Amino acid sequence: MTEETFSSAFDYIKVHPKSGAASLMGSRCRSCGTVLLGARRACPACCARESLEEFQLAMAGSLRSFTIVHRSYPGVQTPFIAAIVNLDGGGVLKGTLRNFPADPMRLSRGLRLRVQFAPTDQRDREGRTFVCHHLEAEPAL
Amino acid sequence: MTSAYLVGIDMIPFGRYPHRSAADLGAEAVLLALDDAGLSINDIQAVYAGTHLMANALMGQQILRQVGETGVPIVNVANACATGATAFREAVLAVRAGQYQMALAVGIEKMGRGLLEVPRGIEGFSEEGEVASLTPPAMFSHLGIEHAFKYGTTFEQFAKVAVKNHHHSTFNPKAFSRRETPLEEVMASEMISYPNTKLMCSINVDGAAAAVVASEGMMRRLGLVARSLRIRASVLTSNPFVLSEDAVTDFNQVTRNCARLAYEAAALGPDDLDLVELHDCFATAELLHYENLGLCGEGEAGSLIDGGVTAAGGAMPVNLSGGLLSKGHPLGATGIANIYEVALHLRHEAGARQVPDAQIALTHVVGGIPDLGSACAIHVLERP
Repeated sequence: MTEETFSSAFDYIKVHPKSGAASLMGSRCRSCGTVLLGARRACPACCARESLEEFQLAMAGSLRSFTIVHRSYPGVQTPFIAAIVNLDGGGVLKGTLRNFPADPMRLSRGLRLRVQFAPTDQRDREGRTFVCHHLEAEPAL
Repeated sequence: MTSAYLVGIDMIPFGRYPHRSAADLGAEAVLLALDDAGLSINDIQAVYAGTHLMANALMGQQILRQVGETGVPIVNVANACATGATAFREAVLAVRAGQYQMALAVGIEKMGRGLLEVPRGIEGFSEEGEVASLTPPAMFSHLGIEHAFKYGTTFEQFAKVAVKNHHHSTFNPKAFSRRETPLEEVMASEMISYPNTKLMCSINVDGAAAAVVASEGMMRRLGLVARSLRIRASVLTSNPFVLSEDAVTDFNQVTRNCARLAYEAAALGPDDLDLVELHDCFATAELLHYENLGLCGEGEAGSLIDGGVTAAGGAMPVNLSGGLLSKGHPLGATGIANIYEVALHLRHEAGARQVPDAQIALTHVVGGIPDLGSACAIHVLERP
């Protein structure tokens, strides 16, 4: 029996194997300033090598685009909101927007969103629970 | 570098052929294209065969088993929805380089029904719904909403693309779907991924199309001048880095880069075009590509469709074939089928949908896969 009980659903999510605590992992290019999700071997924007450094992505941002998915693959519950968020300070992330009405009139450009993590009901081969992110609207002030 | 000419081209009617193999569909298209030019498979010095979903199937070899195993070099090509046009471009490049005098390009696909599946990321994790959506309609809906956020483009304007292209299809006997769909019907049909309803999505059908490309010398020697078309631009691009690529695959910048290079190569601009066949895989995509191809200014796509400019009889008719929304979209065949449509017009053989005195036309396809990348191919053809 393994001691690790959580694992990451994506290579750009860091998950603590025991607590399940998670964060977004990003990179920033020292040469051109580009910010992106995860890691790459060289900067995809300016092609500089050994110029990417780990970068702490913000856990909040504003709505860049969305779609409301009514028809999905078999077994997937619909409708759901697929959202794209411009993270504060750089990086663009997609995620499912939860706890929000599936109404295009309510989804306006720039809507403030935050990134949340939660264990999913899926497990990897070793039986560890996949952890992944979703999006929620920031509560109105 | 010699010029390359399109000397023969044809497509089978797109549709559902459950009892025929992909190779059989491809073989039929090849024989039709050879017949179009009065040629034999023995005249062909190289073959470029495109299929995306059967990329590992040696499709070109399978086809030559059906129509003549001449032993010529065959290159099998896969490049998402740009597969057929990529194969065509390989034929053009080989002829231009002087390596061959006559080359064949063929594109084929047998499609399943329903939403296309895409390759997955982390093993064992099924991300659909957990983390947005990998479905193709969702991808193009995101891009449509991005445009709507920037420019106020409406659901109704996107829906008008389907009304227009379905209207065009009523003049095309080779389209899979050939019926009028009024605006109310398009907007009220099943919502797939807002704002794309079912009637705003291309149809998964089987299909094949083939084309013969020849050098100028060979074209003249064989007396094929009358119906040959000069290939003025043949350009392929892959997705350049864009900031949003971690969230949605780029179809805009890859098309813009390709269009710029194609206009440069052809030494002309969008105003010189008599018609365009562009990649309307979803209704939202067509409006984006009006701007990506420079058919209008930034943010003007909505008013272009409202004004009927891109409809039959308009100043810049787009997708007179009915587009992918009506013809259907067999991935590997689509790029060559688009070239077939403009060839009909440039040869003045398009019948009821003929653009009067068409001289120059552009074809565009762009394909991509969520989180992986994209490819765009543009061709500009001219009546000599």
